[in-house]
Amino acid sequence: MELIAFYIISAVVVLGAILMVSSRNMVHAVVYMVVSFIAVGALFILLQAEFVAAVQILVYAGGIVVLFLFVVMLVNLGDVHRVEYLHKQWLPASVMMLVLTAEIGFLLWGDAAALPAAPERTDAVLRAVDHGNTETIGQMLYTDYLLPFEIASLLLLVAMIGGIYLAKKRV
Amino acid sequence: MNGSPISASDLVALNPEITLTLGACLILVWSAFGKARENRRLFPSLALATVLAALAGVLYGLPPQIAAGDGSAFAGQLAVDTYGSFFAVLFLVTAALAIAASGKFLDDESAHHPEYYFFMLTALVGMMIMARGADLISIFVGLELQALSVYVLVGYLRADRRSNEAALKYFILGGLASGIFVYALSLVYAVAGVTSLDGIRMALGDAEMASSPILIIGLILLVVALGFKVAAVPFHLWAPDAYTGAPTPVTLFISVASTAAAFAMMMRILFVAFAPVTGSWSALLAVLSLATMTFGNVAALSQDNIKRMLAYSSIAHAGYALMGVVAGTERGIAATMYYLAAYAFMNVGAWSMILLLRRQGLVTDRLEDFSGLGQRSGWAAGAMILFLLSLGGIPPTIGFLGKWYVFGAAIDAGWAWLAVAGALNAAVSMYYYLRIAVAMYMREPSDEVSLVRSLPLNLTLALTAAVTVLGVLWATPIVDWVRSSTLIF
Repeated sequence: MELIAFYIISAVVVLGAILMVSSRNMVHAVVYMVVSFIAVGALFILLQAEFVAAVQILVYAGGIVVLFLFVVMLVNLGDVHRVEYLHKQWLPASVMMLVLTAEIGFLLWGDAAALPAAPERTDAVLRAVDHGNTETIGQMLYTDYLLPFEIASLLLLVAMIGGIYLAKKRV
Repeated sequence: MNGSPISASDLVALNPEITLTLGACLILVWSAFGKARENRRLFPSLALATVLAALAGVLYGLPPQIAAGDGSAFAGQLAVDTYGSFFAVLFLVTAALAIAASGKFLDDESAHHPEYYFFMLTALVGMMIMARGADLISIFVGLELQALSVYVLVGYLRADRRSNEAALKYFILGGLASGIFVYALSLVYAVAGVTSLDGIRMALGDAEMASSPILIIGLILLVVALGFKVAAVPFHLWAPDAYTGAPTPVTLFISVASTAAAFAMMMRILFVAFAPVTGSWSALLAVLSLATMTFGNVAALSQDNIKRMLAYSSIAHAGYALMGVVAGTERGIAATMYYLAAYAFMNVGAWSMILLLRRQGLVTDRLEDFSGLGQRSGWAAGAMILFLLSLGGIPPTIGFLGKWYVFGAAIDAGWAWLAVAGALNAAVSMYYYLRIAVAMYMREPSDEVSLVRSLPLNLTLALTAAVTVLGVLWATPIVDWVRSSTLIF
């Protein structure tokens, strides 16, 4: 049952992503992106990661997509249809992609016996399922992962100042 | 999980990064008040003081260390070892030289803003976390902090189209590489179930896990992402454009410090976490090393733009430095570390020399600008000769010792063919280094080119030139320091 759900949701994720990059209308592309994002959120729920699923929906399917739509509407993209994107590189790109797919397929199926069983759930995952996602993630962020958490705050400051510096008319 | 998440010893271990962050925030806040922004001396001095304070913190403020795995802080997120300290010192010294060399250029371009120093200091924090992180999560966040700061620095001259183009290319390709990096980490986590480097090493002690196809795919992607960050061929495409388009003092900083940080991260991940599967990645890196030095040198031969020539030369040098990583021995790591330190001084010197020349008061980057420099300023031309000899690996310079160590380490570990290819490459590279020498001494000077007058820039040149030659005399303490900071345990 879980497996069937996984395959259906994954198909939606991949399909949404393909339609997103192939659609010529920017607004359509953004809507396909939402579909893909929401399906990824469903995958997280399947993994019993409710907190991450909620963040995925709120931040990505919600906030980021709104920003995307703003940009699409504010920036005049009228000539987007006539732009040559691929510069005649689709053939080498497709060949490389097929080779890569074949390699990964060979590694995974050619040697199926060596594929490990589903990895054991780590302590952190077990704790998250038993004690509730949000509490566990909060506790880990402020204990084990305090250093990367603090550096991420500096990272956001740099992103903000950098954006202002590059976009402001007069420094 | 219980008790206080941080202790005093954690903060002591993080003191250089804390100093840098405080300095960066101070610059940002101070620049908002009154006429402080117009003051051209204030912010470079503040930035330099911060860097020197952080340097003192690394050298005297950290707990005593002996070797890798010696100590850790922040629940195993931060390694406190000589390896990390060595790289921290390398980044900070490079940054101090870059700050000294930048001021005049920024003044002349009327783009001397406090933000320049803010981004330089935050980039330094990121680099130090890349070198000192002991957990994939910390390393990744450090990498992103460094990358984001550097993207802005590359696009720092907002009115310059080439600077904009370089920043955009670097940003898009860098984002792609970061995506590949995270994907690789997720596959590694799927197999090992932990993110700490020591934890992965222990998990891979299990032979079945170490031969898992998912791990191998993850490892290949990891090498691709790391190869991108050190600008190894064929993942180098961003480097020539970013290095040429970026403002020259920024190129000086990133071509040395960012590359060294990427090497620091690469060696720590490969030698600590993936030591049990050395066979899976050393051959891959050997191919990268050969392609990188050969392509870098061949492409540099035909360049008439000096920034582009030095950009390809930087790529070639990454190839030489990779040789020590390929060797995979204690000696190999030490050789790469020494090579990166030697490269820092000679490369900062060579880029500062470009900063010294201006054509009709404008930025210039043509090879012919060096014409007749020998007649005009014997000292400057002499220093440039030293840098070029060192980059080419001719004795008696630190560049020669660096190549000597990496070639020796490669032969020692059974990679003799790679060392031979490296020696041939060094011979090829002398051709384009000597083109600059020929221009300096055999051509007539042009009236259009003039030398910049700036005491800090001249001091940078004098210091790097002195280290390039005299560094050979003091090689032993550096080599001892490098040897004591090995990652293999």
